[in-house]
Amino acid sequence: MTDRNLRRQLRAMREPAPPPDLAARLERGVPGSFERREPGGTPGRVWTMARIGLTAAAVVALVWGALMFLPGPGGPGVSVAAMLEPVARATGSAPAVHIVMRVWSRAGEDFGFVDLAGEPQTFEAWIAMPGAGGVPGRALVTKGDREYACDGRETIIFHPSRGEAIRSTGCAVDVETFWPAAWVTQLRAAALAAGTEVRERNEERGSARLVLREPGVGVSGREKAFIDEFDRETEITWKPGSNRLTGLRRWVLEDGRHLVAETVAIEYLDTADDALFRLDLPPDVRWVTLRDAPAALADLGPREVARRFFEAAIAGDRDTLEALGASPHFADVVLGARVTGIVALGEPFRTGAYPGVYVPYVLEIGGGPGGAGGPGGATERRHNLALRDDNPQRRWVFDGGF
Amino acid sequence: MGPSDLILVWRLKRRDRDACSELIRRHHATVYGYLRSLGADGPLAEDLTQETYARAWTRIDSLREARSLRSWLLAIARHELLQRARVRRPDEVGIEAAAAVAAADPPADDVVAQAERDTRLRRAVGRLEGVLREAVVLHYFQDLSLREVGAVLGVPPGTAKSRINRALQALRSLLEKEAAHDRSKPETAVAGDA
Repeated sequence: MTDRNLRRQLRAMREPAPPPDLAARLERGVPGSFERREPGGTPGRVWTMARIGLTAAAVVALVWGALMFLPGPGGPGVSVAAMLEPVARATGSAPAVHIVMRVWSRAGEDFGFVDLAGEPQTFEAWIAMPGAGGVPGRALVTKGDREYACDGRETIIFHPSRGEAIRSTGCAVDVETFWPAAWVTQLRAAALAAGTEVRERNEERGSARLVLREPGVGVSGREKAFIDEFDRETEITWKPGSNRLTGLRRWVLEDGRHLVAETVAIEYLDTADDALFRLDLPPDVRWVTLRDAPAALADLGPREVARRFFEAAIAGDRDTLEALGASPHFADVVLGARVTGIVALGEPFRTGAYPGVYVPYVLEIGGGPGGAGGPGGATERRHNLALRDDNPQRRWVFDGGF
Repeated sequence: MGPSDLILVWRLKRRDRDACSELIRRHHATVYGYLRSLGADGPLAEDLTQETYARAWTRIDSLREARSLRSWLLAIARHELLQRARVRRPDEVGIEAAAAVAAADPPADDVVAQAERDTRLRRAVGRLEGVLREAVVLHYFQDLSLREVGAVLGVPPGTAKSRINRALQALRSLLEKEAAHDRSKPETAVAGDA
């Protein structure tokens, strides 16, 4: 018997199934310290209490709603901004938060990237904002294909599927991206901006709710890719008692209304232990460092770096790909894509909280429509190459988007 | 581990009873099957599965990496089995008796041939040296990655890999010896059945 057959047989073997009542017996063993919760609710909240509260909540909703829709001095945007001020303050008063979100993005992309055709990705973040006396911000973020840990002094980005990790000084994660108070602050600013509409405001069942519609920023002819570029609606909910944010949902308005982000949970933490912001890396992790680049590659602008990057992909030049920031694993990915031509390179642009730039590109794959095509039969690749220069050499290097 | 396990662990740490039900539903068959593959008979595997979950409820706060939820549970189950094996009574099936699992579930008529192959293979797995058998069970029966196998056994992934390779060699040798033994049996045994 060959090893291959043996492995196949081993994998095909089934273990004995448990008796049907074992799960029920295990359920009976769950200690009383575990309590039933309603989704997004507090421990021990029961339907009876909810029913008692409904009538009162309906009355409050009518009164509060009527008051809210009275435009204050300066218009509805001003009154919304004033209404959100205590929400921003209370939401930001916790030393740390833990959030779980689902976003319609794509592996390998920035958090603001929108993929309407994609599957939702769940990410989870523990965030401590910078405190008084120079206490640094800290973050641990897990997102499908990668994990970020910033302990205030350095950042480690770990790619589990590749077994690669990158270390850099400072916090490479924009902690505000995951900080609920920052979301409220941004919405306050948006409420005052031209073109923003207040779509809904109400309060019911002990929860306040606001929906704003914002116009997308111009994209100069290229395809929309990031949340800020779409016309969009954002819904936030908060508890009127505590004024703390309890949820956020975002839709883009593109041939309909599509949900692109939603919080699954927001938990406000009283303390943020250092251990929370450390990654447990596997012992065989491969540390990737930025290689020194030849002088000819050292002082290039982002668009030229993108051009050299794709030219190296076409020429099969691994050295240049790695000198421009691709890890050994990613150089394999780029070389395996069978790029055969550069059709177009756009102007670099910045968006959202990403610290680098994006360069829009269109590539010919596998010889184009008349050729053999690339992996999956694709003949064209159209996307935005992410480049950043926050490294000690201040060089523009590849950071994703292929 | 998928993202849903991240959320499950987070809910468990918040003492959410529904999350306990989900943890049971999602992994109890894995834990039970793992214990059976390591040699526990049905009643012992049930008992140890319950003990595994009892430990899990009290130790959930010590789970640092939510991604390793399944391997964490299996590591607890393994610890419980080893503890029991150290103090086992003669009437209990211990970790060294994995071969007995082969006869635990009689096969249906239409899958006799496959079942016979499985039985042979399972018997061979049961005859492997303990550390090799554990690596095979975790990697092939439980579909754990080398990293996860290492985490359960408390060894580096490279060690897990070498144990699996050694186990495959040993299994092949055991199966070849058994096949040779079958071929050397006198034909009269078959004729006698007719």
